[in-house]
Amino acid sequence: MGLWEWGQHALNIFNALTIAYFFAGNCIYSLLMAVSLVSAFFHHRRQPYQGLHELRDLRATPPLTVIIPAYNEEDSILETVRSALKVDYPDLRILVVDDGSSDATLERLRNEFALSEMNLIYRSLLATSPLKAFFKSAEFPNLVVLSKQHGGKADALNVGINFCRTPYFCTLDADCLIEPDALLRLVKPMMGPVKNVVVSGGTIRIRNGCKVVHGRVKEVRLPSSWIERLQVVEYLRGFLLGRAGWDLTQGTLIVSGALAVFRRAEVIEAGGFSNATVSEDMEVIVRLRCLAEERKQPLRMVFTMDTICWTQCPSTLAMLARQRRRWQLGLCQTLWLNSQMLFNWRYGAAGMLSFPFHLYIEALGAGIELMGYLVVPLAFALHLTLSVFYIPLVIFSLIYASFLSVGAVLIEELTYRRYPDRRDLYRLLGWALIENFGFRQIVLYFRFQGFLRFLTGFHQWEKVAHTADSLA
Amino acid sequence: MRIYRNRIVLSLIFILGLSVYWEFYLHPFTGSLYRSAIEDYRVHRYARSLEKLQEADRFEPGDPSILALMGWDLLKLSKLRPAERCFRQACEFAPENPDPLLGYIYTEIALEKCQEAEHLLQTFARKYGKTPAYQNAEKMLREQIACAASDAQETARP
Repeated sequence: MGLWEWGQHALNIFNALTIAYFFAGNCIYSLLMAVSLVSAFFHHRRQPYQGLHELRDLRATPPLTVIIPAYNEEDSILETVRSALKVDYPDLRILVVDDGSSDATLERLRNEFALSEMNLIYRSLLATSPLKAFFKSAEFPNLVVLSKQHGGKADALNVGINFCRTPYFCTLDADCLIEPDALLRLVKPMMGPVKNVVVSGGTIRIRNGCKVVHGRVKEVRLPSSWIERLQVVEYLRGFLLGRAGWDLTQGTLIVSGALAVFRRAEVIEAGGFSNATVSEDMEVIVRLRCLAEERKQPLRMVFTMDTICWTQCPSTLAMLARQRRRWQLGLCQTLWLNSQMLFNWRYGAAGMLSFPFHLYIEALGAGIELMGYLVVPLAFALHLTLSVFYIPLVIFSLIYASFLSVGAVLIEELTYRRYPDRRDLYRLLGWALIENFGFRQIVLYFRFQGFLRFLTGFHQWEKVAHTADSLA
Repeated sequence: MRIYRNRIVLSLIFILGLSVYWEFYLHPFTGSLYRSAIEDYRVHRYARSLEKLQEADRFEPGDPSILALMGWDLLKLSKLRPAERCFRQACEFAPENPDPLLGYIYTEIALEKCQEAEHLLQTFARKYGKTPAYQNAEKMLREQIACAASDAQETARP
């Protein structure tokens, strides 16, 4: 067999893999969409009977500590702390962990909240970098700021866990604005009839373009740039289709660490957050799954479709590249470190459905899909023959993916209606239609870079800086 | 964890193995049709073989193996123009494969395109040497040239 024939066989094999990838990806997303639609419908109908007021007044509602790790967040930290202080929750402590910032993060906090240094007894349950100082606010008695040597986000969270004395804690990113009733919504499943809920997460939305007043999103609007608008569509699809669907199958592997509530005892038993990956939020969920398997006791991770906080998305391609490379790297690292879960029935839906999906469609899919596009001109140049199904299937898959994105926007419109301006909805639908033609491929390229970084052993947190505009 | 016990590695080896098995052994549409067409060709059922190959060509247009065998079937059925087209395409897609080139030479001889056949024969000799297949084709070409010359003489006779 000559070189050409070997090339043709290799192309045929790759064609088969790419077709299988597109087919499986679209089938799974269709199922997730169907499940999410039902879930959103019932969730929306239950909205008026949530009983959040009762929960607030209930004596059994557990005290909660919000841990805010901050590293060089001088631009956004004050708004975030202000929004956390305004949260409607009966017994709330706020703990900001300054991870050795080299900018004015700590100074701004000290000035704004009248912090004074104090001595505290500190017992280290999880190993962390050394602490430098404790500060307490004279103005807000429930606000404490810790300063430590730089050790990464996971390390800062572990310091927070060591310090917190409440049975539950909540992680909040330093660039996020929390909704006033977010914590009540997140804690509610933990107080409900379902036992052993150890993690509760919700929908994160993009705040770029929104009007923010004193740490609150007052008016929801679409951002002005195309790159931010396309991310709005992405977030809607990711949260309203993906995560809601996985929650119903009890296969949740990712809960956004931007805002999530955890039960402290289990997180400590699982070893806390790990610096071994750059996506500590996913890694801790996977380790909690492993803990449940070790204990032979089901631990539940729940997802609520309610919007719980507003985050900033990258507003430039360079920052988007950093973010997506980091996400992809973190995903690959986490999956690799916990490979024993793959097709392991002992982990239930997480091992049999969710883990394979994240591995083959999300982690490896980036490379397969990107190569899938590149192989078309290559085949023509080398006079190799593509499968007769190949190009029509790729085009159909992209059109179908647009349909899924439109579906996510429509679920949002039918249920939560966060965008009051009708024109914003039409714009979103338009962006959802074109998202898969250009933007998807750009993001794939960044994700593929993240995958290559995983293969080459690159392990570095790439910080996403936000422009002043996106902070408005 | 040892790499050969890693479930991700094992699953990737399995998927790759399955794809290779699919390509070389299963290939549900064209693979089985092609093998069946070869069987028909061997027992001289050229029309039936051609039907199967045309079906396979619908799924995998431009596959040089299918095109070459179609060419041979058409040649046996004396459909020389379509045979010539098939062999030409097969040679274009698989320039390293001697089989379609040989078929192309025989078709050109049958079409009495002796100059083209001569040129292709030279290409064959250059690429694959003067194999027995080459010698047979050359012998046939010489006979064709001689036959054509005698025909010309006969036509020229007053």
